[in-house]
Amino acid sequence: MVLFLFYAFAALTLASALVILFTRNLLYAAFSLIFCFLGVAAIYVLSGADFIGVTQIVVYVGGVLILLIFGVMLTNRISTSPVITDLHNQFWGYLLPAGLLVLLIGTLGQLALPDWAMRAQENATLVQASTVEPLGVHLMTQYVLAFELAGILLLLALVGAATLAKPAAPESIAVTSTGINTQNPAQP
Amino acid sequence: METQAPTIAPLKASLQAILQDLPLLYPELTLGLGVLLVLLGALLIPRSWRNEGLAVLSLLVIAASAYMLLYKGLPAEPVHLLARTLQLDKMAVAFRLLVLLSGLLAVLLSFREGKKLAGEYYALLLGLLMAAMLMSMASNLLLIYLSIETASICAYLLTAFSGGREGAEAGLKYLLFGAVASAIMLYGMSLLYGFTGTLDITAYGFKSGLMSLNIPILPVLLAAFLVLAGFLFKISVVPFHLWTPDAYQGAPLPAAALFSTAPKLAGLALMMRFLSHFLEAGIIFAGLRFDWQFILGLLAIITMLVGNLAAVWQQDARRLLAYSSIAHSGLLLAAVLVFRALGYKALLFYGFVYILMNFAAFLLVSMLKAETGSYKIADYRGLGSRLSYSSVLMVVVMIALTGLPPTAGFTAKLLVFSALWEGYSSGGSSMLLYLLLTGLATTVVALFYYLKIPYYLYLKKQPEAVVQVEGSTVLERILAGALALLLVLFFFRADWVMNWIEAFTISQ
Repeated sequence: MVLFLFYAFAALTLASALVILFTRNLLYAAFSLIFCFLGVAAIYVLSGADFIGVTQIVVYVGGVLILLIFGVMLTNRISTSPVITDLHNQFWGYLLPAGLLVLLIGTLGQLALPDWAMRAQENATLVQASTVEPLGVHLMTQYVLAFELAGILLLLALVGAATLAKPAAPESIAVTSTGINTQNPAQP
Repeated sequence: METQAPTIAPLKASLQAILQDLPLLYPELTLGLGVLLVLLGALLIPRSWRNEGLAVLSLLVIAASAYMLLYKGLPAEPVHLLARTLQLDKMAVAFRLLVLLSGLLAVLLSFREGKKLAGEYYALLLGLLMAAMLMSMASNLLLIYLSIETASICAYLLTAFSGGREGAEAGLKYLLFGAVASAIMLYGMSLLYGFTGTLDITAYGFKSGLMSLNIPILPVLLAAFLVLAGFLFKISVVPFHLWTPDAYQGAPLPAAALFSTAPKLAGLALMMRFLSHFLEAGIIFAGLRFDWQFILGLLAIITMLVGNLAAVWQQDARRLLAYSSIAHSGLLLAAVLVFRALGYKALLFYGFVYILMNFAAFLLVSMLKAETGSYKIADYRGLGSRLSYSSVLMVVVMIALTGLPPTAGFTAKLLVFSALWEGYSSGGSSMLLYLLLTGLATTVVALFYYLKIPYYLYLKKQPEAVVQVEGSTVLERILAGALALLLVLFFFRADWVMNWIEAFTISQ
């Protein structure tokens, strides 16, 4: 049953990812990204990573995608015509990924189950309970620096994004008079 | 499976261990605190002297961090910190010092540009420094990724900071290339994690997992190469160099100077740490020892060729410096590939001198921009007689970048070349010889484009209509003079730098 569910969700993820790749309508791509992320979340849950699965849904499906779709809808004149992306460099665009696919299948196809997975199978220590508690403990002990660093990363990204997005201050417009000043709407 | 009982008991012990490790991380923590202080300062300091105040604050933070590093943060022997997520050895300390030095110079350079920039500029700069310092210590794939990502995000934002169309375009290009590179790196890391079941590249399980007979060598090499691609992007090695010229042209000058030093050196340190584990593991693959020297040496050769040859055609001083920085990356990568203490010493020396001459070059370009109002090399025509001070210094720095005596640039190149020769003649791969030959050949090419600037300064006629925009400040003149003086001084007293490096090389 689990195996069937896994393949079903994997097929959903793969199919929606292919739709993203091949559709030229930006809005269709954004919507099929929802299915892609949902499929990935289901695969996380099936592999026993319940916390990651929930986070995937809350953060990506609930937050990032909604923003993305709003962005697409608000920034483009969606009412008049659908947003169509252009295709460039089709030859290399098909050749390089095809080569990469052959390479990956050729190399990763040879893989057997790695040692640690075999040991885990023998000891039957595959995760069955909730992963929330060990995750919390590890985040606050072994990976506390990574946790804090991620905090600083997000803070700096937020600060930088806000600084870039704010309209240029009056004196800096005077300095960069040749730059674009379109951010500041013309005031009567 | 972890249950309630076993996690709580060692919890106290592991918290104790974290507290014990903290003093060695004070330099990074100081910088992290500095980020917050600068953000707060941008709100509180009155607008009239905000730029100066924040610059001084950043200088103080960097100085405090360096103090912490030198007086509190020197481990007696290589240690693993924070449950083996960081590996602190003397090499890492040396690289952290170099990162701090480049940060110090970047803030000094920012005094002029800073007026145009928002206060958040300094916060991003300090964040970039902190991430670069962590990069040179990280030995856990998670931390490697996070520190590279922090450094990259700060770099993207700094690129777009100058405002205007050029900055935004450069920032966007940098962001797109960078996002692809980190996605590739992350994919490689996920493969490595799948093979070994551990994120810790120093762990025994990592090596034994990679050497396991269940895993053929090709997937391991593919995964390692994907991870290396992320590092090579930070070092801007061909073919991951496409972002460099645009980013350097669009970014504020001090930030561009910083991109070409701090993240690059940290990336090299990271690469050395990563490769050293692969070399140890690689020897034991039955008869299939993969030749990292060959493939990376090939990339280094292409990098030197592309960087130097493309620099010849540049008309803009910033683009010229960008391609020169790509060319220097090739040589720095070659020094890593010697895989011996001699190569590491040469790398540190080159890194130190490179910071000095690169910042001197960017500072002089910024001064000439203030004095002529242009970044175009053609507009430097005949300035030698009018702006003699900047022009003389420019000549010294260009000679240093080419690698000619009497400047430390010569000593640095000599050390790298002799390390390559030493590595080759003591039974190394012949790739080292090819690297040496390419380095020598490209130095001749470099002579051509670096000396183009002195040629325009002194031998071309000045156009009639002279626009005097604004002069360079006293501080800039002093700083440029000091940097040029140091470059000459360290040619005659290279032993001073060498003594310092001796204290930091891995042969404890």
